[in-house]
Amino acid sequence: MSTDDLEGRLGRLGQVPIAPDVEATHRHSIAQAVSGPTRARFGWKAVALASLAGFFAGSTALAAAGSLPAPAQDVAHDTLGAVGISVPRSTEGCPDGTSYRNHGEYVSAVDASGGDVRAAAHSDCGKPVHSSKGNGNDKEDGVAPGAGPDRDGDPCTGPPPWAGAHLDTEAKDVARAEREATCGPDDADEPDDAEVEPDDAEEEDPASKRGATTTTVPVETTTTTVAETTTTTQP
Amino acid sequence: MTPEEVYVALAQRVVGYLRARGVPDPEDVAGEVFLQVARDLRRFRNAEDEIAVRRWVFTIARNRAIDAARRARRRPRSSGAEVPDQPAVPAAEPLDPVLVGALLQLTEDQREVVALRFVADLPLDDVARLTRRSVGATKALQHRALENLRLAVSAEPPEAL
Repeated sequence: MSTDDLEGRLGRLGQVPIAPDVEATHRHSIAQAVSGPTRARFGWKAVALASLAGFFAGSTALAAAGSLPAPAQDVAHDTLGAVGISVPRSTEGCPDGTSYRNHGEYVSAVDASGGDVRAAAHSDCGKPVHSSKGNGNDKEDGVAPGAGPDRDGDPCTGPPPWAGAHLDTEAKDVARAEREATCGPDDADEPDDAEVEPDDAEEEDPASKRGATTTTVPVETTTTTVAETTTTTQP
Repeated sequence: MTPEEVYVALAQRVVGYLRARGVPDPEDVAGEVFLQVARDLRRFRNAEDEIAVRRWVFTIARNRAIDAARRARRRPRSSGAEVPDQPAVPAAEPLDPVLVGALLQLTEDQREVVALRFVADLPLDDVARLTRRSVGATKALQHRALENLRLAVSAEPPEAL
């Protein structure tokens, strides 16, 4: 057999028709692969991240424009203020519809204009939302923690009337006596520093409160029990 | 070229190449080859260059043939005691069983060069590139392969022809 014949036979090996059923299977799988679902350009994580970023950007823009509802505006003021973004507070509770940076600024403005400082101090103007609800811890406002109007109408709940008010000691004592007469002794509330009983105060080292260095010297205590002997003398 | 056009142009050559390589069930393996072609053709840069597509398809076919040979080696041999539930269906008879039998007597390298060069009908340069040999070494290997193949075919009994 010549080499040409051999090459011809090898070439014909690559021209054998494929069985129709096999060819149909191949074509079907090819068509499925071609028309299969195309891979998404962005993954779900990227889409979620972009949505979140868009939400924050939109909220920040609305807050910067002061267009959010009052509670949301105050929350945005507090939250964004913590990261250095200046956003106006809502004008809720402010009589003239003006936004103040904080409650102290409002009170100062009223004081400067010769208005009723006491009423201004009790108003919600410029207070953060959580502070105006009665559990305020916001030192920024210059108001003592717990200060604020009693929202329940119950004089025995909420902050005491002397808290936050600029009362002298005598007026404070009168207010405290009135409250105790109405509500009884206040056990549930945290005692003020001045109200701490001496026994309670002794539990906490007063020196540590002042920041003084305390040296504790261990003292060995020996307890000796002497048995009492009773002698009865019979007559 | 679309995947369907590639299939029409090259399916017979791919099945023939796989059969010449001694791959078990060449039609199934060819199906895997064209499935990968259909998936990846849109990313193939030279999809309009018929020669480049041909070379690419046979690169895939060669890799699939190697995978199939590995799978066949890993497959555990059945012991003589095992009896199949049903009698095995005889495989479809190839066009030239004598030639296919003679190809199996060549070395792996010789069989690959002959299959790529004459069954797949690739130019010598492409065969050299696919098998990572120089053109000269490929040509020498092809010469020896053809000589051995001729001897193997001549040695087959006449009734097998």
